[in-house]
Amino acid sequence: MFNSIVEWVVSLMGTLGAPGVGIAILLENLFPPIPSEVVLPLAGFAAARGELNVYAAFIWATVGSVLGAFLLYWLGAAFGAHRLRQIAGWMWLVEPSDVDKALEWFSRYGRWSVFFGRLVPDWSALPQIWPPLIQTIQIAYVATIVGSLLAMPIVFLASSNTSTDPVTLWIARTLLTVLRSIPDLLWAALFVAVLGLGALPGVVALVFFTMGVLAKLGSETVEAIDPGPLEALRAAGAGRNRTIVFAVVPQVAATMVSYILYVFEINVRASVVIGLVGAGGIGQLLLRYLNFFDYTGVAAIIVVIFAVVLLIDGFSVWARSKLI
Amino acid sequence: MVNAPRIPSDVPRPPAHVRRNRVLMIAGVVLLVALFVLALVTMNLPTWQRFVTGMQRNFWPLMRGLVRPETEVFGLAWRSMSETFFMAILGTALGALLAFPISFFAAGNLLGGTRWALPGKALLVAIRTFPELVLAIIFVAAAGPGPTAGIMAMGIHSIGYLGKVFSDVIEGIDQGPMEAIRAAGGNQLHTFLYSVVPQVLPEFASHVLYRFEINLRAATVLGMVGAGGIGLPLIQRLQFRRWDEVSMLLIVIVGFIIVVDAVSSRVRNRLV
Repeated sequence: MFNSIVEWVVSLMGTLGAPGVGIAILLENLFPPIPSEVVLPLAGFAAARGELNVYAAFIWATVGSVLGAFLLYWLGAAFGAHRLRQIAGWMWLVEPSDVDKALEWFSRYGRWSVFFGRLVPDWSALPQIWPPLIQTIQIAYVATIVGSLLAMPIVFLASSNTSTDPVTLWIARTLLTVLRSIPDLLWAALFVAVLGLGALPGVVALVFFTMGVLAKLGSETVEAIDPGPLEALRAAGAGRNRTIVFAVVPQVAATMVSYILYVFEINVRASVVIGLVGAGGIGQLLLRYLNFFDYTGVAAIIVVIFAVVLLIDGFSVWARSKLI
Repeated sequence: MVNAPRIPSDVPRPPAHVRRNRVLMIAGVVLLVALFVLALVTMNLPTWQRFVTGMQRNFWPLMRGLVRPETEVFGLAWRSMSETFFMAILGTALGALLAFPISFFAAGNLLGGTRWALPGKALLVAIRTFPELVLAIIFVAAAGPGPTAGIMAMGIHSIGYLGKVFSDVIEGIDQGPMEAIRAAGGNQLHTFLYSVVPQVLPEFASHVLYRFEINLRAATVLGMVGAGGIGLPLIQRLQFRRWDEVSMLLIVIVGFIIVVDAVSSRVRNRLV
């Protein structure tokens, strides 16, 4: 997706010339994934080859940038501090008071912060990080959902109070013990060998890993529920499935969702490293940097991963606090 | 014929907050499914066909191997799993030794205020950020392949986790004994030695054991990047798809980990 944006911007400059540069810069202001670091050097390159007039490009880029900034300014002014405070009220990681703090800071140092802020390169200067990073999160997301769905039947079969018979209970528990004894990276290496390189073995590996963790946590929760409703439904003649749906699920649903969020956190971390054995995502890029001893690249990726993990953890903690 | 219980048509509508929650829940599920589909479409997953052929070509041989593993590699598997085991012990010990002093500088109640603990806590967070496999690759590049690199990687990474849980334990101790020793005229060192350390040691030991269980799992894969242990023979056989030998190694790994887990969790239950 990212490359197509860049190609589109480049073709825009090719067909429209200097005004195209202006439009690209304007869009870059409004829509962060378009990197100005791509637009301006290309404009300079075209100007040096004589395809663009330097002064026209300069003027159009300035006009585009100022117009874009004005549009954003207007958006902010129309939205207003009041609504921003409301959003901060229900969003994770921020409080309404943080908005006031930022506003106060801006009314004092606003001019200088804008001046220097525009000079600092942003993280979109590392365009090759984004596609694998997004793939990493996708791997974790898909694996968490599929793994959770597959874990649900095992949860009830591996709990002594909802299982069908002792033999099934024993089989389910043994299966869980084996699943949990295999670390995430071993799953990944195994499925890379089975299915070949790419995101697919990463997803399959994390599905198995998710099942092991979640079914264990889940069956512990199910075994700790209040037996009252269970007995009541059984006494009323409900079958096993109905007992589970109406007596067990309402008691464990909130806890289970919070466990799923927790496993998603673990999976995001894991999906970073499974790329190191060839299972897709940002780990493959990390491995390339490590192999070339490019430790600045490694550090940049680690910082980005750290920020993303922190953000997802924050979201997950916030969502879990709302649940229980 | 038995009449089914008839639901009267004038059942009151559920209260507003129940209806709102129901709408929110449906919206949430729709969003989750939409994101799921979007992820599947944009992920460039290979076709279903490749999944099926991969499973046929490699998964069934693996399953067959699990039933009849190649017994000749058992000696190798056992030796390299023992090496893995000792790597995990040394790595955990290294991490615990280094985390012990650091954790006291990340515990707010010993330093007289949470903010004095911030540098220590920040250091621990920074250490945790680096996955041990990344550390292992760096140490293999720096110190050459072998168990030393793996032990160092595990040791460093464990500092981050152990330092954090150690400092949490310290922050949760009972202040009474500290005050008592101070009141009896003991100095800083006395308070530390006779009131802090005895309170935290059992919990420290329990956390170290838990970390050891995690490190044993980590140690089985560190060999894949040349950092010692059973990972190296495993990845070699995985690359050549020698499934009967892979199965033997897998059986030894899983069996070893299950036994160690069982023993370790029993000891942990005794400790705390």
